[in-house]
Amino acid sequence: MVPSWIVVCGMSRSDAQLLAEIEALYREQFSDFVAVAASIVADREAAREAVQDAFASLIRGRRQFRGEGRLEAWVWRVVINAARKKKRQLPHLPLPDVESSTNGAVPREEERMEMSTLVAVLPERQRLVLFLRYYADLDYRAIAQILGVKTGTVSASIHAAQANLRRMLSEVRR
Amino acid sequence: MNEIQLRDQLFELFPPDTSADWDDVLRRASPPRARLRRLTVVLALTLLVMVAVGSALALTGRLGGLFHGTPVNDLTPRERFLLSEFDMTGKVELITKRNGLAFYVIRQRDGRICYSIGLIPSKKLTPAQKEAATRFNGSTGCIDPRIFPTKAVPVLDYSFYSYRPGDAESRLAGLQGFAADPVARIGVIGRDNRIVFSVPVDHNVYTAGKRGIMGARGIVALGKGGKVLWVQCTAVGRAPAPQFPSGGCGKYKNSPSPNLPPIKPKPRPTKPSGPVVVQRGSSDGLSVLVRGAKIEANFEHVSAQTRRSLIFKDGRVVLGCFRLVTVGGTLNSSGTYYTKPFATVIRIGGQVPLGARAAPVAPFDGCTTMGSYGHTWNDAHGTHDTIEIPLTARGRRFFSERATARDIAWLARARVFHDIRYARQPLDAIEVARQLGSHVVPLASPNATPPNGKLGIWLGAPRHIVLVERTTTGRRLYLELRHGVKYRTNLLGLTQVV
Repeated sequence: MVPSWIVVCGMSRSDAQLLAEIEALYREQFSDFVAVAASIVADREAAREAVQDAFASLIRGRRQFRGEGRLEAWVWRVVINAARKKKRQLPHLPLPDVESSTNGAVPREEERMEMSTLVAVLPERQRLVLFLRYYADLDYRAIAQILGVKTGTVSASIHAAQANLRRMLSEVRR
Repeated sequence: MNEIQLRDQLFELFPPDTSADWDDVLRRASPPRARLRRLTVVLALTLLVMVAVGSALALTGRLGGLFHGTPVNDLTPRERFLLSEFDMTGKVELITKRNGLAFYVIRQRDGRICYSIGLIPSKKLTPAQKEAATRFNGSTGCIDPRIFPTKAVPVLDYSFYSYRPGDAESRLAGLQGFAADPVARIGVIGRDNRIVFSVPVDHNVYTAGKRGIMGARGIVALGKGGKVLWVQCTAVGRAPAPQFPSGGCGKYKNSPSPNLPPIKPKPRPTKPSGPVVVQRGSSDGLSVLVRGAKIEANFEHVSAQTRRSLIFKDGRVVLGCFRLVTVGGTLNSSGTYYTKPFATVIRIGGQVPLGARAAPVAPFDGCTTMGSYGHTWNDAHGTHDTIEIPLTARGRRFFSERATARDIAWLARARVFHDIRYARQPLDAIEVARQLGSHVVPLASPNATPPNGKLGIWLGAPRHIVLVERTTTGRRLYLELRHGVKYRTNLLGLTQVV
């Protein structure tokens, strides 16, 4: 509690704005954050928890944001780190086996499970870039900023993720 | 599997989640009450001043003649508006500039003094960036002049402690603040309880730039002969996280707090002076009744489909009312949004936002409820809020213009536009417009305006893009991008452009 003899009659406008911008990002992109976090922790509920924790941490530490980069990139980094932390706290869940379908026609639910499994077995960076690009609708430069890699690495990772998915899909459905 | 199929598959795996709960985030962000004092001390996340000598004798020795600066007479209307929003309408003086920071003092007419540290904006800003820039973009706060600057409290420290994931210990980041005349240097107490680093006080301010000091346990104010005038030890009590030090600062004992009588805040008027303004409005089945600062929203006639769009998974809705203020020719909205559990009738209003003078009060220009969904350019949700209720003609115009502004801004940041925005080779506007769909049409020149309901695009070399759309009110909105960066726009105040 702030001692009573201190009178804080205002907070910085930029601080208020920053808080508002963080809230706006939360409200506008909550689904994206949860999906990307879920791609890391492999559990939707844990992903939601990670996103909530991440934003709580963002609010507490918002003064660490010096405005030198994009706020969105900073927020994404915190969410991803929170998801990674959450994953470490969760008991290790074995990945489901990728089972082959008996014929070429894959029922809808089975297809969903199959895709889920295939995405889950991708290396984490490939999974992340896939979701950041195609779910969160971020461009290569933004993804590079978030992950702290070069734009070329993002491009290569997306290409590799797509190639891996195609290869695994063709193997599963063979 | 092409990109569109992949995207669809991912969305099928993770259907949009509507369980967003901002209140839960705020609850998690708030430390338990028992830890609040420690956190306030250790993290110094808000304006925090520690007192050095608490004796009555010391308190009588106020220091005068401090903080003489250069009057800032060129406040932009936007800066004036931002300061006034936080009740800072006094005389602004620039004390000095150091390490990319500008130090300001704002002398209020009632005798209070506010202190601000802001980043000096780059000189290479585009016109659009200049328009949005403000010098008061850092820490700003006011303090009782009986407290600072005095012999008891010779330092007003704006530094903060932080740690990054993986760090074994916290660091003192951005050492900066204001200091009274007798303070010659500010020293940092290191992990071995010795002064490991110090910066000079010049023009009554100090800063270590971007330097972070790992393991710092506090700061001391040093006089000219190296005499310790004041101590702020943050390694007190139980640390809130293992990264933060505890156990005190050895021989550097925290300066005691002064025993000043508490200041009774001036009672805020519970009711605005003058007659209570009453406003009514309705849209999409939602009717709103505004009486002064109180807002009553009735959702009785809102369709089931619209309800689904606006109620978050936790059962809450977000609604609020705003007033439009024109500042320097640019529109700014002033108001507050509230998150409330959904009910047929919701009553809100009356609360004073943090740092503001008073609760927002009628007349408002409009009220809105936000949707529980995200947006992408040209999606089925459109560019309006779920329900928008204009209460004045100005509010109606704002909603219309904001929707058009969002169309432009959301295209500029959309994935489908990325390769166009950052293309290194000149592109053909006709081909680009064709790629973007029938809503987008090519423009013959950057000054041209597309037909109503269409978004015009003009492409020029080198890497020069202009997006234009006419609002239903007849206003021409545009966003000019050069090398992918927003260069010039009139969307400011209507929507955020990234």
